[in-house]
Amino acid sequence: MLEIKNVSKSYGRHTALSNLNLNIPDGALFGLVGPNGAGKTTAMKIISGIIFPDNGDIIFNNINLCREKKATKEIVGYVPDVLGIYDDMTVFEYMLFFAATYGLTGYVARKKADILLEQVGMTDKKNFYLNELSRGMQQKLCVARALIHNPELIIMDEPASGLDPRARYELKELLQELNAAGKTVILSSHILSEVSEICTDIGIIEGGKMIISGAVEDILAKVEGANPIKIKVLNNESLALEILKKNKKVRILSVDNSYFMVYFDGKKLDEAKLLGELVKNNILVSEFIREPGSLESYFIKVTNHSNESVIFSNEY
Amino acid sequence: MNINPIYEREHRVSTRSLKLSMAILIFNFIVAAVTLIEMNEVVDYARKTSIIDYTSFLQIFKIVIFLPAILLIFVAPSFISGSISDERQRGTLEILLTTKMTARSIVFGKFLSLFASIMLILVSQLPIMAILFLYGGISVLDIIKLVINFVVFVILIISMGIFCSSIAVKTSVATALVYSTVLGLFVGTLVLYFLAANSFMMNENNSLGILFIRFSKFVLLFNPLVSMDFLLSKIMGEDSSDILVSLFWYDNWFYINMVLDLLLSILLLALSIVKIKPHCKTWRKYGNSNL
Repeated sequence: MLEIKNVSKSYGRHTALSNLNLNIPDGALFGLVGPNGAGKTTAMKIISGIIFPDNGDIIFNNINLCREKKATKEIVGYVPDVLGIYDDMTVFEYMLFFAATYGLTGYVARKKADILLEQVGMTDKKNFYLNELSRGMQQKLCVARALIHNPELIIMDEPASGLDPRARYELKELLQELNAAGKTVILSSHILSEVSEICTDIGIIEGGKMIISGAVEDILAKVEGANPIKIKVLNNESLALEILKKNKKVRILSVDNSYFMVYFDGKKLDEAKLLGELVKNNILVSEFIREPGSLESYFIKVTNHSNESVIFSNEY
Repeated sequence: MNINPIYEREHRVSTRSLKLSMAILIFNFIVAAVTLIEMNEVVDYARKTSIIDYTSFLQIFKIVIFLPAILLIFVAPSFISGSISDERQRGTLEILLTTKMTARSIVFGKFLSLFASIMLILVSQLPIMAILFLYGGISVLDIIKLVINFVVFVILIISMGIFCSSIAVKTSVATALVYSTVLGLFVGTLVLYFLAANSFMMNENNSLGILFIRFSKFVLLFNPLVSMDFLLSKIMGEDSSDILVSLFWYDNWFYINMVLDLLLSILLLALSIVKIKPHCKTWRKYGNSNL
């Protein structure tokens, strides 16, 4: 379990993180989502040990990542938003170089590099110079590089940024493979749809504060629950309206002939009971649909943002 | 024994690049051309007048020693300026700081690779310099002192370069900074001294002028080219150099200069380490840092 406890970080007068609290379960594929300047990169850098927080602690399986730097370097594999590649090296040299930075040399390093290149499907690109690779390939190589010391926690800042749909799909598969191998992966993005597709858990960050976090299904359920229900009846509209008005969990938003748009503050079972009551009173219900919700609309709701700083679609 | 990965990488890449090969070629060409032209003139003069003046060979020696040093002042900054800022610009510095490499080992690796490259350029010129040893007049001790002087000179240039590179965000800024500081130390201090000396000669009773010349001499103590000049003047049997100092300073300038330059280099490298380490204030608070 990764526990982020009251982490704050300021750059001069600008507060990047303010008492950030977050728990990420072991083996989670966690997506940190937020608009530009929300504090995602700062949070990622603090977890990776590149910068120190002004206050707070980050605990990963009883190891304080803010204090035990040696252990942090062994635990964390970091992929920054800027890829960080050396154009003047070949793919294999690049892997061996980073293996050496972790003290791995000789046969062990070569073997490890071979395995990882195979894992990311780049064995045939071994002798290519890095500037000869596509952005997608470079990104995959960076992931392989971050795995060279077999870290338990992988931090990726905006990994899908600038990738074409195919490269993004391959990256998604790679991340899911890592997740299946038991690694805890934290990635940041400002593309909500992408994160909700890939991740098992998400956290929405805004103004340096965690607004909401949890399993994607739970958050989607919350999103769903917050959306109105559309009801269409084929007869007895006035009786239907009366029944709806009587139900304390219902708040009527609009009535348009046989269409009722209502907010329903209850569980699925209560929803079923309401439908049952309508049917029991001989009202013919042809539609009883929860309006489809999306993380995007929820995000806007919780952050009070216009959608200008968050990209919802997969199009860049 | 594990070789510093940064050193290994830089060494591998620099030996592969055209930049180093071209630098070696151009350096050797210039020094060889100047040496041969000068030697030809001396030999020609001896042939025409039947007088062999051995001091003229030592004059050539002086030129052959100073020429690479001056060339280095103009060429070395272009090698050094991107050492840290390039890493920062391409995002690899952050990655390196998350590996087991410490800020100290990163700076040390950079220093070592630059030192090896620059020394390679200088060592490649030894055969040209060795021609002059045929004529004698230079003791082994003189050569050792000159080698030490050169090594310290290179160490100082690299340390200045790494420091400037560590404080600059962009390599272009780092290059401008390195050139300014290197030229400031090696040329600026000499200009300052000669300005002070001139103003002192015009008015010897001016107390400000005396202060100015003392200050300029103090600053010159950090300039390894001055100690090189003193060493060469001694080899040529001169009692003083163009820079006028008392006999004590003339005799001990080399030692004082070497110590001061090494201390300055260590200070600059230490500051570079601090600069690339994660936020120092909090680092001190947490104490247990291996970054």
